[in-house]
Amino acid sequence: MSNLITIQDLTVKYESFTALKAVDFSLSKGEFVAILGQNGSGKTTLIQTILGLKEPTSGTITLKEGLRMGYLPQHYHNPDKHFPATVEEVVLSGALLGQKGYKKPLKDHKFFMEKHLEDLGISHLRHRLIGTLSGGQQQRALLARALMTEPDVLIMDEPTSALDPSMRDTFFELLTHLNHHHQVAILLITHDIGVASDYLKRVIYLDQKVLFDGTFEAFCENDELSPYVHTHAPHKEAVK
Amino acid sequence: MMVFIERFLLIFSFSFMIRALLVGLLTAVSSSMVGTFLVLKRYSMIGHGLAHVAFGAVAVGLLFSTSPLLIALPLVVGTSVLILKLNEKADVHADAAIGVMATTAMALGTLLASIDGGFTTVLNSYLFGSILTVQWLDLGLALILLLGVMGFVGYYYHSLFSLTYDPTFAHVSGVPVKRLNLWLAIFTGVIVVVGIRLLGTILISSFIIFPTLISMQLKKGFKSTYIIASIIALLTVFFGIVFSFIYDFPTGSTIVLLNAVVFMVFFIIQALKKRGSL
Repeated sequence: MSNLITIQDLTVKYESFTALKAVDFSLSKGEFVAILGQNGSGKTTLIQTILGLKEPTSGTITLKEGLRMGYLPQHYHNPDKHFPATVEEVVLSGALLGQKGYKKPLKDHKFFMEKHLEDLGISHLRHRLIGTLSGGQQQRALLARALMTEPDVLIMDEPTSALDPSMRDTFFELLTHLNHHHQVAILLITHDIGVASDYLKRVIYLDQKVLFDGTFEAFCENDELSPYVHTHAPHKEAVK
Repeated sequence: MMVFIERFLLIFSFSFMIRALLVGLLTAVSSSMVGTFLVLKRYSMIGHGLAHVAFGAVAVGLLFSTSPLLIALPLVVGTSVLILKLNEKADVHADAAIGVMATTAMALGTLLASIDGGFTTVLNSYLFGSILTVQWLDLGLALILLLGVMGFVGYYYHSLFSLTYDPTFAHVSGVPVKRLNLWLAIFTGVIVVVGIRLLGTILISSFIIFPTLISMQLKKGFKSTYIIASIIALLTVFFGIVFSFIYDFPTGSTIVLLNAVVFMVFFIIQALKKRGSL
């Protein structure tokens, strides 16, 4: 398998505080990986560094040439709830943002937008202003926007935190569909491992360093990490 | 009514009025096209701060030249870029930086005027604008500015929308966020300098803010809001200049107050709609 992202000996510091220390891992095509860890363990820093939003203090991040990354932030809400943009405009911007010159969206863009909006159950909201949607609806619209970039890898920071429980399964099913049928690699931070565990192929547990990297089943069986499993996925511990 | 029409037609017999109308209309469209991004990015106060900086820069210009705006132009554009850079650094309060620069520049302008003494009246005309001072050079600058803004927005429209709505996503998706912000800062500086003859340093920021704010009351999507803002800018500047001529009002104040009235009307209509009264 060819690596989409390769991280070697990555250290990130905020002045005197070390957020990440000598982190190594790689992500290949078609993987479905969750980054787990307690608050302050460096999960968001890791994702932000991969996305180029933070500079590494040392170490390297190598991206496959021409890699397209889709990004879904945690609870993104533009602070202006009166921002004048419809759901359709925001979603289409995922496909159009790199275009030079003003061009109308192509039929293909519209087709895929409609498909994503329908898959995410927000097709009826397309003409609403984005700021008037609930947190969960906005999150789904932003996922649709990320999908419009036709990403090789979809990077998400707690994407289900604003979704109601019934939508979480649908959300992960959609990710699984993308992962299986379109070979989109998924890399996400989540505390919602109760739901996510049915879909995950690989888990990375972080506490400044990578403390665990393997399958979810092996993660649940790891005695040293059992307090985390006990807190976040008690039913999985019961199965074990 | 006949008197009104006669006075209206009289406008077109004065070359200074034709110059003022053309400069006003061209600058209004440029301001609105850049202003929508500034307002939505919450950078509205940059225009206001820069206008005060322009006052100081014009004073410096008057000391050395008979075309003070040509001296003011690089000073204001440079300050605009400086404010942007300070804003990008999370550890500096951009609003405080704007306040400090604006007041320092105003103080400098007033001091220079008091030392020299010879140009106090001319400098004061830049405070509230004067339709009589608009020159053909201003028209040339306004035309170049509009062509530049149209080329910039036309070429980067989709990227500008993305960086305005969600700069992080735009950055991650490969939009040159810093470069586009830099151009926005440069255009803002030029708009302020070109617009102060007409509106003055005190009122120029309304050119940037009002059209978008009024258009946003219609609760439309981005493209509609953007186009409507430009139309509102054109209409308010046109009628502002016409009314100021007919009723002998100060031009800058008339344009700003017309914008304020239109804003209030749109705001009230929207509030009534929300309550279900309309």
